Amino acid sequence: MKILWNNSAGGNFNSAPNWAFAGVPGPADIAAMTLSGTYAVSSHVSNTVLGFTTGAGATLAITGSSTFTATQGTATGINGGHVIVADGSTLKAGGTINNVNQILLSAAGHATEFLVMSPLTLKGGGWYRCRATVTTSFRPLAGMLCLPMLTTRLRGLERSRCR
Amino acid sequence: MLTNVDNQIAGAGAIQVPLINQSGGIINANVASVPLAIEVVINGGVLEASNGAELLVASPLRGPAA
Repeated sequence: MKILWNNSAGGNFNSAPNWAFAGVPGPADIAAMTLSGTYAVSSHVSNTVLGFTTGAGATLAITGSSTFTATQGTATGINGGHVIVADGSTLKAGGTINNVNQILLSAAGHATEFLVMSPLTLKGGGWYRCRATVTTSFRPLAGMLCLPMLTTRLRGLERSRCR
Repeated sequence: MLTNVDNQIAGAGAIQVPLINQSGGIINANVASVPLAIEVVINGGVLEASNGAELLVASPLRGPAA
């Protein structure tokens, strides 16, 4: 079921009155933060949804060292706004993320991650920005992959295009 | 497996999952003080480092099949 955000002032993802009709979205639901206006929705405890979608003025902020899981990415919708994964928090997604705007991993001393529930497809022409003072990473859901010996290094203004 | 159709992934850190970077995809290391490390399986797009940054590629680069 698609559940619509209903508070133009923004607020707590886990507060039922902020959502229309059925309350806080769960694992079988699409969290649709498509209400017009500019606002931020804060998910500061771990949540799982089927998918999420944001409007142009909406920001989904994943905070509190929590994990926000979208098992089917944006499902039938798009990320038209912003997703901010704050320091120490995690975005976990599978399926497809149709990202036409921006997803930001913003580390400031703690591992800040995007866990990939393989396979995951990124489309929509948007941005993923990894702001790292210590660690930002995309990594697979089941354990860390050890990077083998580094074989190629692109430095400075070099550019590689393989077609 | 992570398939990047046409997004731009920029910044620093690590992509520690096998990556297919398709023709519209851009991977851009652009933080001078911290590298961006990736493991690319197939690259049909753009891998680049700018702003004095380092892009560390932890696998042989291979283009898409003709």
